Amino acid sequence: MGKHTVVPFGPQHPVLPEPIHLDLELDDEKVVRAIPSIGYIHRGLEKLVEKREFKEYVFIAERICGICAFGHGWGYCKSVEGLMNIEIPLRAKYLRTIWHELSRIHSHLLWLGLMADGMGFESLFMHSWRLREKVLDIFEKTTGGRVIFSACKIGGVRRDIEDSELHGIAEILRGMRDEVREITDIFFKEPTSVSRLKDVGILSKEAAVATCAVGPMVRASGIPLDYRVADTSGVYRELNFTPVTTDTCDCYGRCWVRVQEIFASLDMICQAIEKIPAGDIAVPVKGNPNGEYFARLEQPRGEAFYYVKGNNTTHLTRFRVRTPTNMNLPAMVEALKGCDYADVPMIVLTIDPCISCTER
Amino acid sequence: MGYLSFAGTILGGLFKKPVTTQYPLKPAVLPEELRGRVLIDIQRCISCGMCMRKCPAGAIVVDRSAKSWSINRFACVQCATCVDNCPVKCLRMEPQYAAPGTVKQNETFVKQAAAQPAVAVTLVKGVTPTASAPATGTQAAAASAATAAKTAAAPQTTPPGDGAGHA
Ligand code: SF4
Ligand code: SF4
Repeated sequence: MGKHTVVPFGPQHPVLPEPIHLDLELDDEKVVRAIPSIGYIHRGLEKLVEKREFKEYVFIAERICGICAFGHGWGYCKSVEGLMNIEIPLRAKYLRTIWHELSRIHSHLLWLGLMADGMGFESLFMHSWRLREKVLDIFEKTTGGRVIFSACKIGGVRRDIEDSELHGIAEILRGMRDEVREITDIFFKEPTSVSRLKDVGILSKEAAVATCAVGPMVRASGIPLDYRVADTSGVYRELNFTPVTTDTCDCYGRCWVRVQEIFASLDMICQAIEKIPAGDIAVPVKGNPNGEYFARLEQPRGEAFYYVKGNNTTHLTRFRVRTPTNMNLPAMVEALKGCDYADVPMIVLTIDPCISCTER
Repeated sequence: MGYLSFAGTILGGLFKKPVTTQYPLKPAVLPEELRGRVLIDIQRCISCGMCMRKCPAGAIVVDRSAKSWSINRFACVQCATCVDNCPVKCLRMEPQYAAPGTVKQNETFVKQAAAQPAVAVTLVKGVTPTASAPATGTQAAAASAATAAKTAAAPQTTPPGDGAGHA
């Protein structure tokens, strides 16, 4: 029996980009239990739905997260559109899919950088973010915002992208493919990074199911759970896409899944650009939402869940988001069991925690 | 061999340009579509108040009787809803962001009687006064200084948090 200690970890910690607190119970250097606590940055965004008209709330929904901003805007619009039986034009669906997949690339590259930074691999961090910058420039050019796009609205999208510009984007993305490969190959072949990732933070298939993990976390445990396969609010069904999975169940697998998803998204966007039809980008919205509805959307971090409730007035009475990190925290606690103390940052980072969207 | 390729990387790195934008040295390249800040051509404004009603942040206050339009740049979230909803299209989005400030004050524009040039009144320190009608020229900007003091006296602050435009 080793020496039993409890080490507080976070919410302010050099390797932790997110304000989560963990009480790590250690036996010598081994973690036997981790008790997470959140609640450091609650912003009350869900409550604001009562104060803002349902059309205006899109801008607040976008601010739930600074990384999957577009996704949250889309998720909210999707649920309200479902509630009001609005069928959006096909071109809008395509544009939403393109922006959302671009967000996924930007999110995964950002995460890759943080991961490299977490293990002390500074140059890899900088190169990931250098590539991410190209995606942000695309956002800036097409939506007018780098992080918050304000491009989604109920009934469609607010901005169109010219076809010539779309082809320019496809060109940039094709060029990015090799650069991403160059960087991510280092991640998977460099012995130092491999040794930090391989067989660290095991989340078995059974544990992934039992803890209801979502996103790359569950896909790295060999379960092809990806809502995009079933999503009809985007155009995923028209694109050639299969969920990326691996069954290594460790940090290495979770990295691998995210990296392959970058390539899959690059591919999907190029396909969408080839197929995008001409036409309207929005339909007029009349009336007020009445009733209840829930929608799901695959965010970069996993499946998010949106619930709306209206009472036939301009203000919704309830809006609820269940973010992917919310679901991944139990899985993280599971993966932390039995790991070395020094591996804790790696495991916490591989769930790609986004605590501010968890607390909304 | 390993050392040679490493030396190549170092030498290459020495002569490569930085990938980052050399911002203060070179002006930032802002795409046309960038939503930086809202500008108004006040002479064309009909004070309908549509922008005020539609603004999700409650950042705009339109006073019909004073024919003034003011914006709280610290509350504005640059969503461009006002620009989309203005019936006479006198609002537009400029790529250049608003300058930072230390005091949270509104920036007020007052519509002038037909013959006189438009005057832009700037209360936020550091923001360039914007003479919206192209004909006004620099005299208008100079003249604005005097008017600024007067308009400043009239409190035009948007209540923080819940917008005034949502009543
Ligand atoms: S850009 Fe949006 S937040 Fe800013 S003043 Fe216009 S409507 Fe209001
Ligand atoms: S919507 Fe346009 S015309 Fe109406 S008050 Fe606002 S700026 Fe003036």
